[in-house]
Amino acid sequence: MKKYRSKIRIFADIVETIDREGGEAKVTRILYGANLSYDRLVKYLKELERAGLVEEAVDRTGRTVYRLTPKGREFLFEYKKIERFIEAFGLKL
Amino acid sequence: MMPIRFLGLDLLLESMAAVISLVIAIHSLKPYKIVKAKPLLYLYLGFLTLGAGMFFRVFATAYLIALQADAKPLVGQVSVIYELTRVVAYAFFILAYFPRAKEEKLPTASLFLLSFELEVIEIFLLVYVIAQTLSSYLAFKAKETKWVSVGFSLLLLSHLCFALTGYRPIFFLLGHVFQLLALVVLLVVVLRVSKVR
Repeated sequence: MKKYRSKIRIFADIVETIDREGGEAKVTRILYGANLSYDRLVKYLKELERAGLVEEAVDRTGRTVYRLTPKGREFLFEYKKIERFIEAFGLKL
Repeated sequence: MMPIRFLGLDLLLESMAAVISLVIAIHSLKPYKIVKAKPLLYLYLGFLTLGAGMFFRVFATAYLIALQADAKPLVGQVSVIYELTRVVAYAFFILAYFPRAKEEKLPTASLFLLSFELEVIEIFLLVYVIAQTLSSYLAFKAKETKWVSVGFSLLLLSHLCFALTGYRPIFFLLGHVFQLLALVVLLVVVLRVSKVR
């Protein structure tokens, strides 16, 4: 059975994948890392861009990448704290 | 009924426990505001109700002492209201660990619960919460979860002490000490997880 992921959890997975890749990642990398379909990923990336958590950029090879913004790093930091809190109390969301 | 010789000390311990409970509630509200997950809301409401109930008992008892009249019937009413707030608080904790529980079933359940001895109900509710945190600890082995289990176990121990007050008055004081210790342990966990980078 597929495990339900909340929207905020999906956002965190995307941002975490970009962070793991060194703060900048190609769409295919994020696709695998966040375990999403292409259409859904594009939709979520647009939302993250609007929220100022990631920004679209072009790398040295001319490919489109997504870069983590300082606001995105702060979001990830806060989310990890919440995750620890939830884990500490043994809650299931 | 509270042993008169500990009056004052128990109010001081209860006030400290109430403040800690409210601090934990505030710390639970912040994650809820971000992720909007109901278990976090119930955890917040649980600690908020627990702290509010403790403050109610402290202020009501202090007021009754100040009255210096024959306040025996009122003391009984204060105790019942206080115990009811604890039942509600622990019911919120159960909802936090049982997110799919149907909320519409609550009023019926509450009415059913009212007919039992409140202290016993609180003990049973806490046993359920402890079982949930322990099973979570056994599954994920998170150090903090172990301490949350310890915190709730101390709270359970405090209730067992309160239940034994009739047997030996010292259990009343011990109950307050365990209650304060329980909330200190839970507060330390909350502060620790809030500081992790």
